[in-house]
Amino acid sequence: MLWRFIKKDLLRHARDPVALILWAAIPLAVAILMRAAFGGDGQIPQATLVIADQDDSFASRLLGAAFRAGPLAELIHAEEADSARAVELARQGEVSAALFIPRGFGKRYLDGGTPTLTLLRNPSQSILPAIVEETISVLADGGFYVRELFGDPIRTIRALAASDTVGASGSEIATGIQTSMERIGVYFFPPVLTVANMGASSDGAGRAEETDAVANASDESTGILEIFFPGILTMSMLFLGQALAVDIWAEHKLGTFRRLHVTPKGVGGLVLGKVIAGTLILWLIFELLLLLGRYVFRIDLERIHLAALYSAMCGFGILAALHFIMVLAKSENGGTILGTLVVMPLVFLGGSFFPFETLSPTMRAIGMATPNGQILVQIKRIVSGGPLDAVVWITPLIAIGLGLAFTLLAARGARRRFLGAS
Amino acid sequence: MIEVERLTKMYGERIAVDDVSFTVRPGEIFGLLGPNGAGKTTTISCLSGLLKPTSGSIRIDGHDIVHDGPKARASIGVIPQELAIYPEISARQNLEYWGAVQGLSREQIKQRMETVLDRVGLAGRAKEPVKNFSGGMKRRLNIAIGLIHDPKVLLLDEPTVGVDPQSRTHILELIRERARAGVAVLYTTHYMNEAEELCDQLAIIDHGKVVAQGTLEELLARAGDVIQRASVPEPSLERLFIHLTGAALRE
Repeated sequence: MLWRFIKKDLLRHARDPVALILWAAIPLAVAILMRAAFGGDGQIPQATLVIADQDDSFASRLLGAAFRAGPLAELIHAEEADSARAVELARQGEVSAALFIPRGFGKRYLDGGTPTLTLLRNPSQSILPAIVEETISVLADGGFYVRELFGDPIRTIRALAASDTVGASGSEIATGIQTSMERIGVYFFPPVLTVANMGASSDGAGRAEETDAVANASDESTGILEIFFPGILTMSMLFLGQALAVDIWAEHKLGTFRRLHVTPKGVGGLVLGKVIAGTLILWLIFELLLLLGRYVFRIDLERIHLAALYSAMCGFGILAALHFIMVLAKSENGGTILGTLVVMPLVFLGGSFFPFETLSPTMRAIGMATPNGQILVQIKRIVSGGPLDAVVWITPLIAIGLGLAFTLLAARGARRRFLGAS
Repeated sequence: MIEVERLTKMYGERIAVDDVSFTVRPGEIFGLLGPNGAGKTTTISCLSGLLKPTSGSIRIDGHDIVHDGPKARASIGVIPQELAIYPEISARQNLEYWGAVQGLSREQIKQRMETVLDRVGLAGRAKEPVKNFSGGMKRRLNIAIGLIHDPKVLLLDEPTVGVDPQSRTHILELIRERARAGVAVLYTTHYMNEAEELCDQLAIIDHGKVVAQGTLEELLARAGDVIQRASVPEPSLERLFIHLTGAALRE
């Protein structure tokens, strides 16, 4: 009989698939907007830095050159401007930050003094200016150690600085420094490492032993869509779950819930059937989304099926909980509002809108404690090719257990809500 | 067979049904008449197991609706006042679902579905989504769902509201046919001519109490007395109804 309940809902949704497609499309739309917001090239968001070089010395030009080659060039797009233009660009919010290299910077640096750099941050951005500031801070530290450790080249530089020309030997020095920087780049570019590591690790804590695997998994660059993709799945789970769960109110409005109650079958089967039918729909949509991911991110086919199954099993628990929430409200609108009040904070905290990689450690810990945060971390592990042990399946098994409990509560709540005093 | 004995249903302090008793035998159509809010729907809800009576007893085909609910409900075909169908799926899919819910096997559903679709005149459009149906067709499907398991007892709550005369005639004939087949029918309506035309036994209920009960002839004879006293020329069920329940507008 349970199959009849499931089949009925599958048929109903199949006849009216537009609503579900729209709900499933919302997370995709969010991802596309995110991509557009970060430049639309599908890569890690690139900070823009305008450099106002008031010194125009060899050292100041070397500093500017550091942003135009190697990994820094991928992270930060640098361009030069005079001071007034740099201030204007920063104030208009057209760049992430403006760096002012004061007159005498080169001389003070080479003389062993402590030159000061001024950075004007774009207040409308938070992460990208922070990346620029952190990078300049690391460069400044690096510059100090270079001066302390490389006495001979420094002297050559000083001689060149005195002549104020950059010839072949100047280029060699710049290349040598660049090579050294690339060699020690792993210490210079921690933000890149952090993003990559957390994107692929199981717990987001950046465990050291996984660094090599992460480096392989995120070969060239981790695309912004790749960072958001698992979040899109969990967002879809929550949005679709809410859209499917509100259908219990449709049973009430159609009068079919009351009619069922006067048959020999109980309403518990109806609610369980709705949750299972919803789970099957989620499964299908996850397969489709993940297959889309296969073409964009080259996810292994076996992992796609595994991730879809995993998501569907967890989706069962989420769906059942949302059914229960729906019948706590006194009306369909109330149910929708209550569902939204639960779903939206979960979406925001659980790593869907703001990937864990961009959150502070505290917020990350909170996000990972949410049900969808837990699910997201495991989906990441599955789709990134991470190791799979029995522990991975604990979450879906718990979700199914909780789902059955919530189904019972939802059936009881629906009886009370829809049948009143009976 | 429906046996209702001293049925009372209270909502807090308010009495919705007050000490109502009646019996509907197999093959009999029992009309329950009353103005809005008189207690008709509450009575049917108690009979179908939707509401638990405050006191009194209800037996359906020999089974107590409270203590032996599933068996009692298996004998009942309920045709609710409001439509209770799934508009997105076809009439056939609706009947398959409700047949299964009533405990019919796949084979039984197949057999019964053809019969009831034919009887309600929907055989030709059984594969269409119900949302494409007219109001009358939806009403007929609503009735077909109540008949899919060939119940021994039929509870109909104003099944002809809002349907065209053709559909109404069809529905009334269908009810007569079920009664001829031995089904005990409880029928509520606002239409006095329908009650006169259809029912073997009638009860007029107001403020939860039965104020008159008997065959049409018995009630008309009583109406004759009343009407003669009121100097109105011709006895009718409607005049008796208005006399017993008052002319004031109801909610």
